[in-house]
Amino acid sequence: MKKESGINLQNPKKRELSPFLAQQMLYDYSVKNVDPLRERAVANALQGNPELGKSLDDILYGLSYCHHLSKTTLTPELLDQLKRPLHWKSRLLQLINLRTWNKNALWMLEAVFIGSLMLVASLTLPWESYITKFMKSQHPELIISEVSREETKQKPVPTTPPVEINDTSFEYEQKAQLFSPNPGFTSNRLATALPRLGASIEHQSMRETDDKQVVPFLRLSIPSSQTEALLSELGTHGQLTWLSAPAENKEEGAIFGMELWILKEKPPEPVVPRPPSKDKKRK
Amino acid sequence: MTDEIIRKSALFFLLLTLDEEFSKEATRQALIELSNRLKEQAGASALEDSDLELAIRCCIEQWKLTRSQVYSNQSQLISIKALQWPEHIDLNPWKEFQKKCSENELLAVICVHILGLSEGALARCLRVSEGTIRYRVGSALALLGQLNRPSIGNIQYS
Repeated sequence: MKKESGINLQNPKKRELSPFLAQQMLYDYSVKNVDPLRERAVANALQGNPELGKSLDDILYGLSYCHHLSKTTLTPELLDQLKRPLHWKSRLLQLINLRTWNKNALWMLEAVFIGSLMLVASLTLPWESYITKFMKSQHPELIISEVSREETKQKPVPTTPPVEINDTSFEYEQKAQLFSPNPGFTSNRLATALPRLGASIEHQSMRETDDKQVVPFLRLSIPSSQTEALLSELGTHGQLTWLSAPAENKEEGAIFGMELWILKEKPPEPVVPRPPSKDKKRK
Repeated sequence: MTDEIIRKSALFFLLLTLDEEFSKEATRQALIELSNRLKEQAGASALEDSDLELAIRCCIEQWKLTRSQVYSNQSQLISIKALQWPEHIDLNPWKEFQKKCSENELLAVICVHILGLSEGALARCLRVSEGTIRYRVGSALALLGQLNRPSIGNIQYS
């Protein structure tokens, strides 16, 4: 058919559908949801294709089965159960049941739980002791200063045994002053002064005094020319209390051992000569 | 909330899962959610959805939340005694169909051709196009018909 304008608006030929298109349109055809042109085209396709007819029968069987199933009703007991309001216990159980929770809420709950665990752990655990233990295991010896021992190897240093703290060594009044611990003057401070003077620490330990106080005990080796400097250094800081030096080593003049106790208060004199023993006094 | 809405909500879960205990709980939850939303809509100026569409929407959301529980209990499928089935209907083709069919197609068939929801409303609930819904329904019906063919020779399509 042609209009006056000459444009062909309708194809005079029959519209033929491919088998795939016809298959896809079968459901719309079965529920009559297609326009008349397509309906005619699907009907024509069905006439020449028995497979399509079989598929249409399947859809119609399915529709019929669903139509019958839609008439299913509930038993009065079930309907009554569903109408009845829930008991508070079952409501509480439903609230507690995590499976029914939303995923976002579950993730938030999980994050809050983990965060609170970390907070409690950070507040309660003794992290400082763990860190110091770890540092000790990594660096077992902490070196404050390194002193060359070449000279001491060439000339062995005569050492004197540590002076025994007993009543015969000092006067009682002096002893009370001598062996009180001094936290202000540390071995670090002494260690910075010793290399400058050419001295070295031979022995370092802790000793207990008569009044049950633990004080640091040092045994030093130092050139004789630096003795006065050391005494003035210690005396400047007000820490020197007592020095023992064997007279025979002092006469040789090179190196001699000395023992030193670090005490709290500065004595009136920087060098305290060893007091004579009480036995001699008695004699 | 009418009995018809309750019936359709229960039928949604019962036909979808064939698990009576799960369906009872899921229906209860969906109905609670539905009543809450109906109260909210009553306060609004205009109704957004019809009751059936809103009920199906609540059922679908509840199903998405709890379907993992059903899939973990697939071996516990039982014949449902809480329903009054129509006469001369065999439930075995539906059981077979429920196992073989995909979840989307099963949902589309139940909502459109058993519960009577329109294709457009279901498309809005699932946020897909109407053409997608029609395709799912068509392929699901073809499968259901294949499974149903030997047993319902006496049923005529009207």
